[in-house]
Amino acid sequence: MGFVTVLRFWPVLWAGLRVTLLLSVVAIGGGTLIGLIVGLLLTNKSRLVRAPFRAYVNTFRGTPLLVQLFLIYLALPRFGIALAVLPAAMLGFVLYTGAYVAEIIRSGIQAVPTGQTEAGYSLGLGYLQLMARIILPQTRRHIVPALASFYLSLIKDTSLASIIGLGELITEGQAVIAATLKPFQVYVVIAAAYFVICFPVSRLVSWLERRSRDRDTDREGVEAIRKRPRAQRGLV
Amino acid sequence: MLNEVSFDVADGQVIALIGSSGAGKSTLLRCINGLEPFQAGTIRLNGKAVAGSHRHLRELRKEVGMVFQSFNLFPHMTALRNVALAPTLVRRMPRREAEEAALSMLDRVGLAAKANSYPAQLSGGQQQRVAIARALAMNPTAMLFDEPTSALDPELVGEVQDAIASLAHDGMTMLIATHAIRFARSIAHQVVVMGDGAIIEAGPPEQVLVSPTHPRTQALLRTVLSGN
Repeated sequence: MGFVTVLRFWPVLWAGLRVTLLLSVVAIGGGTLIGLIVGLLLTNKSRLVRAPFRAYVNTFRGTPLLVQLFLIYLALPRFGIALAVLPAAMLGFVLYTGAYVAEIIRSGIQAVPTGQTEAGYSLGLGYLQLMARIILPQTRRHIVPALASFYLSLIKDTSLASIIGLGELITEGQAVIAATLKPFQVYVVIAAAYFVICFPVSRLVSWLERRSRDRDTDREGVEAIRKRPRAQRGLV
Repeated sequence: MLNEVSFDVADGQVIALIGSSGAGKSTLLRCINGLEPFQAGTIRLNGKAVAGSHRHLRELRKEVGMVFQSFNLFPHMTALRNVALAPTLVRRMPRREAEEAALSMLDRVGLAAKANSYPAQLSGGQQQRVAIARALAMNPTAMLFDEPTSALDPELVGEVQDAIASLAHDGMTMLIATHAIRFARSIAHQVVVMGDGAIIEAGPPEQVLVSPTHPRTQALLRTVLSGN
């Protein structure tokens, strides 16, 4: 089938896969940190405080990632900031991720009833204590699935960095195609590689979701259901 | 919203705020706790003005307990953690010590047995009693109650009122916004009647609730009592 030929080039694909993984990890880590901070700022009472962060989020959510990558890589040198391909891709992906995560965090926070904030403040808690101990834990059920589906598309979207010439999985795959003339087999291997990254992420998320459901809902109720014989649970 | 509202609460006194919905009872309580900004006038707690920086307001809030109409318990924590949280975070009490104190607070409202229950597993009356214990755990000098029994099923009102009455018995300074006239009469030293953000009438309950002089108080009592 030609897979043997293609797999002889595995070291090339593996190098690309490592870049894909690195870019994904940096985008998710850096973008989530930025998104958390910006998300909190987007819930600020003052419109003046919100305005610049709102502009950032709208810009990065309202334009194609492809264009953002081009502009960061091509236009920044005009302002004296020349970035190599990998740092440029990282910057683009971190900013893009930050904008989406900020919006997810903001909507999660605003879904928590205001009575929770008042109760926290009335007990003398400070803003950060309130957020860390009262508000954010309650957003988990809302935020986790939204973040997860965003992260999954993000991992696959790192392939867009091939457009500025980053040697990630797609770019390296195309090199292997050029050498072997077996595009079908190469793309099957690439698809498998993405799947191997994404599938555990989605499993992890459904586990987290199940866990937070068990914790937040009527715990006695959940345990009572578990003790029932399987046939009565409606899961036969 | 509020206008011409002026009164003093002496240490250990219980004041009932009555008035139709929208009269400004809740707004007043929220102003006292610094949750609602106000434009003119002064509120003093133990001689310290409620105003100024977040830090200062935070200091004041530690001295005042607040109980809300809708309980506002933290749904992701057990009753015990709800009560122990603020002492550990705000008073920097060691966790074990705070939880022991929390348990005795829950015992005070008759709910020590429910310490490990989550709010969703408790009835409305039990949730409100946990909320009272949570406010008490900060050892406040005064307590504010914003219609503490309005969201409860009728059969659960009594247990919450009993918990509040026992605080009054222990000499806690309290401001209670309520529609429960009989309860106000049995517990309050002073009754303040509010309407349209102003005080209509104030005085001891025997006077204000039994032989009110102001026609609006009379009208209010007629509607509320016929509703009970």
